[in-house]
Amino acid sequence: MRAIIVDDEAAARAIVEQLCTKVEALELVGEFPNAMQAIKFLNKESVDVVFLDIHMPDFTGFDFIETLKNPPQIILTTSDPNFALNAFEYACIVDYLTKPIAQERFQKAIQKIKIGSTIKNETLTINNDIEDLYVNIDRRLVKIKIQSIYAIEAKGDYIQIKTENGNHTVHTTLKKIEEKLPESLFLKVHRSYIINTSKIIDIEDNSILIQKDVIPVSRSNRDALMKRLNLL
Amino acid sequence: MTPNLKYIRQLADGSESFENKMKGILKSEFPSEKKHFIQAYQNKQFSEAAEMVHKLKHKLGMLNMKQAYMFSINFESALKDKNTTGYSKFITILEIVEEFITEL
Repeated sequence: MRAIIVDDEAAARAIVEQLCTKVEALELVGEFPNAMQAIKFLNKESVDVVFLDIHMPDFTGFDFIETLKNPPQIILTTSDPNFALNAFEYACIVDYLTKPIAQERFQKAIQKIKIGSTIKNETLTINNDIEDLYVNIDRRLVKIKIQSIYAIEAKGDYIQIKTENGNHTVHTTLKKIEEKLPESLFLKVHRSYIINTSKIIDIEDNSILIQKDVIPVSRSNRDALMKRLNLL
Repeated sequence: MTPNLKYIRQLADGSESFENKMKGILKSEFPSEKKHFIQAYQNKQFSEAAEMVHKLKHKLGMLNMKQAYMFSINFESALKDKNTTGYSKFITILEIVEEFITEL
């Protein structure tokens, strides 16, 4: 498994590096003192595991996760136990290690990664074959052509799926539908919006025009959007 | 509240290069983090001072100072609320660590 470390403290990086040397299955391929350097690396290289500090200046560990379209499995490393609850909001987080990290606890976290990797690969295989999405609306399973979706908006406990043929309101979360959509086509551009990048008409600073809708783009998602575009 | 290298030596598992690397990092990072903390505190930038306590407390943990580590968790939280009552005790802890690191 290819792994990277993201932590602003050299001492913390050195400790995780040392712990990694004791696990044969791990290949440490990078260490980064801030999230931006790690994001640049991940745009070029694939990794299986990120050992990620939460508490970093400017760009926190959670900001880092939000920026990634398909985050690899993440083990949080932090001195602050208060973030444990937030960690449950992210499916990619497999464990939460408090510093100073004990060797036995580190080994347990690694075991969780191995199990997680297998499950994730199976799920991806199924998703790649899907062209339609069935959603539960008023006790009916309605088929929606994935290619016809141009945007999805979160509205409290519901999402609104916007298609070329009309809108559908479904009781689910943005996170759940994001997992069902092909990553090559869809991108989360804001906490409340996922868009189909092939339907973009134009982009202006912090907003996108798709069909007749103007969709906001959050600062943390803007880089990922710009990298997706074929810019001249 | 006496610092020691027990945790670092456990991780090193006989690796002198790792132990030396950690000593080098502690020698270079700790004094600047302590200085940064004191400056932020004296300028009444308590949020920034709390950030530095966050960094420093990890080093207390590395040096196996469990009570000092627990105290720092509470002090960091108090500073965020501009409560400075733990300052003098925290400074004492930092001075103990600084003396230990200097002799490494």
